[in-house]
Amino acid sequence: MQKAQMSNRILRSLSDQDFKLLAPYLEEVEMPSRFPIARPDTLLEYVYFPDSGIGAVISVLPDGKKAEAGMFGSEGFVPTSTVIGDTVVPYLIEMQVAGRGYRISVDRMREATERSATLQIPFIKFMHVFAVQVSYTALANAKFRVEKRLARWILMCHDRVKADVLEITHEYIAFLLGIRRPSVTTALHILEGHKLIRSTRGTIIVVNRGGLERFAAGCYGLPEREFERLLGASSKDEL
Amino acid sequence: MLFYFNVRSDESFDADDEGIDLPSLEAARREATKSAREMVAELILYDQRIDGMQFEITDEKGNVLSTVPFRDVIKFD
Repeated sequence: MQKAQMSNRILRSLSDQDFKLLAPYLEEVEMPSRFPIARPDTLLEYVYFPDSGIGAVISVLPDGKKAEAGMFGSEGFVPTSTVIGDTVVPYLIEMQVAGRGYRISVDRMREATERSATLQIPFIKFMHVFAVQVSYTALANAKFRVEKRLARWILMCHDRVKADVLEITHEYIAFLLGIRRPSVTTALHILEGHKLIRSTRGTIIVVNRGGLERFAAGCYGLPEREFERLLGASSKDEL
Repeated sequence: MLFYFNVRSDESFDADDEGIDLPSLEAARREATKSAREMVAELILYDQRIDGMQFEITDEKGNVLSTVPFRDVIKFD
């Protein structure tokens, strides 16, 4: 398996030496929409590195209430707790937009990280960046109105899909924003009215990305800059 | 059965082009009511007009089956 063919930025950021520790055990995996990566209190078997698609870390209550806590795609890996050797999570983690990627068994991952101190660094950096993202979601939910938060989520999806046409349903948007499905229509029309997006059935087309960033007014951008600072091409493998 | 929830006001019309699969018109009205409460809360918070806004529940052909005026979801007493 060749690192250069992979889009996953965690795997790509590894030194050749560290990549060789994981490579023999990585398997390619199709990750369709709703593909389950982890369930609450169920023993974890694999660590996943998406190459494409969008996944969600979801907080759940026993009565079925749930909310998206974090979004990931080819920039990350899940479940992050496997870095500290933990084998259960309290979350539901599943794909929302179909993609594909790689997985390695939790045991193989642990063996590899025990053999190399530097291998852990990008994993730990991503855990931190992911926490920054979640903290900004908390800020957005507390301080920004629905259409600004929608602009943020569209930008976050745009970053991960890497195409201007996003196949995301109103149902998924409602879930992302923690609002009811019929409330999504008006929020989308506000962004359309500003000519930032076009929305058709099951599809959002990003028309003006710069405009969306300005419209999101600070609730988008900082976690993404943290990612680039710590894990971007110009970052150094140091903690 | 697919129900569509268009938002109509005096000045604007936001068409729902996806719809939601719900068991009955009664369930659709409940969904519209809950959603209107959520939207009314935002409209009040940002000092915007509520009067004249309503959910128009339609079937797949666009026939209006029921309406839920936003005013009706506010309790005044």
